[in-house]
Amino acid sequence: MFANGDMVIWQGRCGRHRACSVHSRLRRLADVLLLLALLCALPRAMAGDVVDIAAMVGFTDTFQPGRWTPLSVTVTNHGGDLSGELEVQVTGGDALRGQLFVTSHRRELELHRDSRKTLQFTVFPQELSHPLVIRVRSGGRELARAVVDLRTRFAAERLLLVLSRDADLDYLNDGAAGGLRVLYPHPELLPAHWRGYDAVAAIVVHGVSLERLSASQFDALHKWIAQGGILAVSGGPDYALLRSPRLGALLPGVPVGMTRMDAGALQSAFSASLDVSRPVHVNRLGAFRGRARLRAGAVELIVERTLGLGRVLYLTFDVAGYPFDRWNGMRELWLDSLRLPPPTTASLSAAKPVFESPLPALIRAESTNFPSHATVLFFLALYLGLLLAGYRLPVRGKRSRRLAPLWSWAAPVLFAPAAWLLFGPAAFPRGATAVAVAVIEPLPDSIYARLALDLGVYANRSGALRLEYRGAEPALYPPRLAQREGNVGDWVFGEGPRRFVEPRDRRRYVLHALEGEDVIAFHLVASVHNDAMGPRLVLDNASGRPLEGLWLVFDGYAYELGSIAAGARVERGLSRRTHGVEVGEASWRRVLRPPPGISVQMLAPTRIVLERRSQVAGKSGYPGPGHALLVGYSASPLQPAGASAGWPHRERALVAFQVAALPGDAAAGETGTGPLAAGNGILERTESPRVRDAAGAATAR
Amino acid sequence: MRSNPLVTEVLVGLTGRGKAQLDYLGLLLLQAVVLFLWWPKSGVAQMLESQYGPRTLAAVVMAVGVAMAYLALRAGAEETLLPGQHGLRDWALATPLGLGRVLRGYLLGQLVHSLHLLALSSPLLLMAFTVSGGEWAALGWCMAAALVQALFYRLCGAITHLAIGQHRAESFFTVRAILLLVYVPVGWLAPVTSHLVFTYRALGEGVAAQPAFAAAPDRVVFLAAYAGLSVLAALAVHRLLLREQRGTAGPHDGAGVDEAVVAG
Repeated sequence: MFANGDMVIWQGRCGRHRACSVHSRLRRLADVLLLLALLCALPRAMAGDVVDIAAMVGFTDTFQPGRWTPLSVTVTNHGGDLSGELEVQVTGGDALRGQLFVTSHRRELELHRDSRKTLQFTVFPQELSHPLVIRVRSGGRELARAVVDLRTRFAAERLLLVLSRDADLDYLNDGAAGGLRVLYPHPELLPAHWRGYDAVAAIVVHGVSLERLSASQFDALHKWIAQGGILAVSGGPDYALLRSPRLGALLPGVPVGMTRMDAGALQSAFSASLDVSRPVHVNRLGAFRGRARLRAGAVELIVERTLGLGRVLYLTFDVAGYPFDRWNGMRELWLDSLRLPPPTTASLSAAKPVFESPLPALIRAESTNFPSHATVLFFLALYLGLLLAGYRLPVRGKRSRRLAPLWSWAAPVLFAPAAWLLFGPAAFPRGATAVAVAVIEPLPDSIYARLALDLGVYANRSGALRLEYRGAEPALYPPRLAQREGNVGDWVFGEGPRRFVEPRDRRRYVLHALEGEDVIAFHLVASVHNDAMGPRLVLDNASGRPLEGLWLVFDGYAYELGSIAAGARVERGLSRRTHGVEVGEASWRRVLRPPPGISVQMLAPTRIVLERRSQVAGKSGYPGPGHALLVGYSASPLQPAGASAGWPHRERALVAFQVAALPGDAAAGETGTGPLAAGNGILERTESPRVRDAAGAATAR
Repeated sequence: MRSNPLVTEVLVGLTGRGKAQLDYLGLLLLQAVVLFLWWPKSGVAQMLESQYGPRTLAAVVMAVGVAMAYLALRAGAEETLLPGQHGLRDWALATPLGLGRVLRGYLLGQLVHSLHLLALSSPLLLMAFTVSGGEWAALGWCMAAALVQALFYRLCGAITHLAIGQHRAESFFTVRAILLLVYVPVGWLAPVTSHLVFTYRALGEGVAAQPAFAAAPDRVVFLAAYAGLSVLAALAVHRLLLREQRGTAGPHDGAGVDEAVVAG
């Protein structure tokens, strides 16, 4: 018993001892695990601290949903040198139906220690419910992340941007539907892509220089005006600003000095309600393009010129100075001068009509097809026949018997590479293909053209599909038809110097399509003079690209012009009787014959896009009375580059240029260029050096 | 490997002319028919519209898998042997070779035979591969799966042969029943063990938006399952052979086998 009891005690001690030991081991293990967890978490925590992200959506952190908007992201690096990637994720689609898609905009990011960089993106926030997610990644690790809530940053009204230090145009604010929201952004934060101005109705420049903008920002502004934007520039005592190269290129004319105006003259020009107790100085203009909208005697007060489809207004007086800063009539004056077009539906609105994509037609016409069944049958018969023959043929002789072992392996070893080469690289190479159909519409009185693009990528093998490209920099988005059907995948858009698109869906034999639009340098100057025998065409092709299969459609006739080389100037008199082919509103599209060497099927994609453009405009595309249409083919402005340079590229680019015809006896003025009004100064510059460089580069290309 | 007489026998047998080769030629013809039938009938544009690529490769790989399994099962059951090849029972009972060596040689020989069949099918596989656009890695995994699967069926055939013996009719039906059973109901109930499902997931549209097939864990499960089953089947074969060795009363007439050993 005792022994048993002793044993029990001993066991108990032993048990306690074991319990203590296990407890201590567990504690030690817990300590080690805690230490490990801390060690794992430390780099993440350190990384989280060393990189800061600050973002500003739109202009002064205000944007309009359903419109393209600029996004400035400032990354501050408090740690060591950083080489990675900045990514902005935008969620779009229909949340109710669960058909969401994510577009990721990526930029390479290199930051030295204790430095900061601001990168600009142009994004399309479709709605407010999904925040923007911004990430900084390096070496596959997320270093920092910021979530931008859009619900507190939006405006329903159109935006009026005022670039000024002291002007107050708040009286233009109008909260009604289709109204205006006046914002005062910092010029340095203006968009670097023209599409970033999507929500902007007009821009007012007052007392600031556009020389502060970067080259891409100024290009973006210029392109935005060219495709229909409105820029108003206020004069003032510091008129030297208006003589700077960039403003000088945009304005209808440059000021040559100041002129004094008395109260009576001003009141007669504006309104009697304008309270003027002392003389006012306004800018004195030399020669100018366009027309004067408001004059006081011989002094122009408001001058306007067209620039492409847009307008530039020059108000020669200081809109924020005496006596206009206290005049109640300024709001009406502004609205009357700006003549803002009615609000349009959102850029990618579901209400907009959707049309068939031209890409399948182009693929049908140009893509390499699978080797035929006959080839397959022949190859199989040859291979199996050979195997059977090898089996059936009697092996006679010592030499044949010695070769027999080789036969069972030789046939497949010979035929396998043959099958690979014949059906692979020779007939049906594996890889990715880029497809692009573009319509280029030169803008009148501008070196720019509007580009509508359908871009597609597909591959006949699984894997990543990253198309790097150069040339155009279109704002790309999933096709409206796919959005409506909820059939949109996720995309990655690479911005910055190396631009690329990459669908996240890596399936083979899936056409990943995008639509895009851009304004590109494409300088085509044409004038058509309606002579008695027929039209006389003067065409200066400064676009830098040859034009092929060019036709002129004018006054019920189509005239074949053939090819026009890049840089060529052509003046050609055409006779209706000898050169003209009679066409009508329904039949004129038959002139869209493919250029030599291209199959007749090529008609389809270009016709699709042309008809689509016409339907969007609610017209037939046929030039109206007194107008002529030049239509032909050119090289696509968007070309694969970098790692994608070797991709097969199917492309068609149609140039369609509508010009107003001049009477036959008119001087050969360029179509769309306004007459030069008489003035007492010299119009020194019509284009900025930057613009000239772009056009020169395009010509050189 | 070549020091093993069973492997040598397979290598020699592959160069000869016999029923086994003719059988596989027949199966190769079947694969060619599958290739021809599944060859894309429409153009690339139509494929892009339907968003489904050709399923030629998946179909051919499935056909190759079934053909290899069928042939392995029949070879295991000794319905068909390579020219000059001897049965497993002969090797185990009539030669002084240890059972371990015999089994090792048997498995290696099966592997060599399967590789030869794969080589014969390779032109067809590559033809299908060029148009179907799969990944090399996925194709490699499918071939590895077919090889492991064939090994399992070979051992199943061997078990059938050792268990049933020379009863031709029973063996004939059992062999086909095994193939049917494992391919249809088992494959349907446990898709992870089905080579058809494995191939479809690896090469068919099931791969969908996955970045790469290599990321899928199915392949490991399939290979592990068949490797495990093969080990069990090999143990069963070993046990059956051992039992036969112990139960053999008199010396077996090992005519020819000794010659083969000497030749090896």
